[in-house]
Amino acid sequence: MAVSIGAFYHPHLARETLDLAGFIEHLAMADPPPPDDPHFAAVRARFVLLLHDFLGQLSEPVEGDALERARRLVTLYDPPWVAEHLQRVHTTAADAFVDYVFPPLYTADLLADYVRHARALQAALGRPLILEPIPTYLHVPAPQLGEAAFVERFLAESGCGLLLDVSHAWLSARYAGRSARELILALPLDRVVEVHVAGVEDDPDLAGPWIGTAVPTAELLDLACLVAERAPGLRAVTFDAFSTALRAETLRAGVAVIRTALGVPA
Amino acid sequence: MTGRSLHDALLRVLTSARLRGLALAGDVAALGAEVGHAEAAALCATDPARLGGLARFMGRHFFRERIVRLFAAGRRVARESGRDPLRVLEGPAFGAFLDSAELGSTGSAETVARLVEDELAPVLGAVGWGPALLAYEGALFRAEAGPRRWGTARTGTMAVRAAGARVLTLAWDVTPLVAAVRRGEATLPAPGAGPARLLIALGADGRVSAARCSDGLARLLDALAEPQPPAALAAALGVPEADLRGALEGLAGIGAVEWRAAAAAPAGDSGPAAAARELR
Repeated sequence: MAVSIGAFYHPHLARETLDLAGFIEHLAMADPPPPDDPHFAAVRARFVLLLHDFLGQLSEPVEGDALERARRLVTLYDPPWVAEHLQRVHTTAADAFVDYVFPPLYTADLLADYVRHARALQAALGRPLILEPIPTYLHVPAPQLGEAAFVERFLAESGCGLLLDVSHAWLSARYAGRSARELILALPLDRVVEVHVAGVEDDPDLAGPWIGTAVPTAELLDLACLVAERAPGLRAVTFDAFSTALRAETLRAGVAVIRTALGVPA
Repeated sequence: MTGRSLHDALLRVLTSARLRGLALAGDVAALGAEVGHAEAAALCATDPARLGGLARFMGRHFFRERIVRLFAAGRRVARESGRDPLRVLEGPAFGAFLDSAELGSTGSAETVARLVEDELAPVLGAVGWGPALLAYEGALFRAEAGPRRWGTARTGTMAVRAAGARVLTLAWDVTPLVAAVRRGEATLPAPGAGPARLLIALGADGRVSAARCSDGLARLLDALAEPQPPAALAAALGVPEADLRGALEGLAGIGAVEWRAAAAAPAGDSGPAAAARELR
């Protein structure tokens, strides 16, 4: 099956994105379009849209208003699959939260919760659900399964697919002092449906690299190729840059280097 | 200790400078009193440089996203004069603040709002409608700092005005300008002179809404200062209950009204009769 090459939808780059239709085949939707987005109708008509919004953290059930919102987004985008992060951004009581993707601890009790709630969400939405692991920067000294084992068991027990961001894996490996290739090859690549490739930039607070709105480096593109060669179910590769600061030149360049690396001409 | 309880504790420490200080000091007893002893022991054993760095990263991202989203119009106008309020994020005042920030708190939102307003004031103060825009976006920013209620069902039979709902009266109606900025329009409409009264509320999912606040709505919100049963309130007001319930549901949808259990109903002079007197 052909692999689609795409990017994230940015309303501030809608005109430029429409001009790149074909070169960009799909758009991941991280936020709903503004109600008065003058370009969204054309965007929806010309691109495959992938639902990649925050639906809820799957350590808790997605229900009530959150589930209704997810259903509305599925109706709006009609995506071939629904993506969510393998993340945990607020406490059980929701009284403390970060506003950025953040990985859970890879423990057996949380695994059971993620499996149960992912299965319920997938059934409720009637679309395949794929989950994207988040890079680990801070290591908490407590007994854990490890990211690869957690992901493998989660996918096997939930029936979900894998959205593998190779840049996330690269960061996790770097901050664990491991090889990124080794970490990636330990993952169940036969479950990969979508690959994300992001650029990285140095962050002063983290005193090291983190996801940025840059064009992916050759090392990251090599990792994307490594996955693509081993993922028979791969359907889409997405340039993962989502920021109001993203410029049209970077959007085009990011997609272009992915096409070149994977040998997928426009 | 479970993975869930440890992760809850980790999120608390990342978002609270006070708790993080305990972790960085290795004070297992004091931190344990707040998040559990085993959880505190694990967190006190994490790499302090990474814990501190990650907390600063999260804090900087937290407020950057809110400045971009909630001060969007002020930022757009200021940038045309070569001044971007995002630069406060790189300044020494914000750097010092990060080490005392409590993410999601009204106090920390107030601190950052003032930093941004100080940055924007020289530009917006020179425009007639500038102070109104600053007041409006500052109110949105402050209102957003309320609690989240992800996944909670709307239950209860008593309606009450949400604590974070506020009515703001502006000397200029800047809302069309803000809407145009959010649409990314190249040309912005000039705000109209004249008072604009707005209801600002925080929804359960963290979305801040602003709605026109008519005299009737303002009176209804005043009446909902204490929990009210809709049927009795509708009867006291002489309006169809279905209409009142529809209005209350709409207000609950944007977070301006909450539903509470009947047990929370007050006694005495704050029930429907008092509300009706207030509305008349």
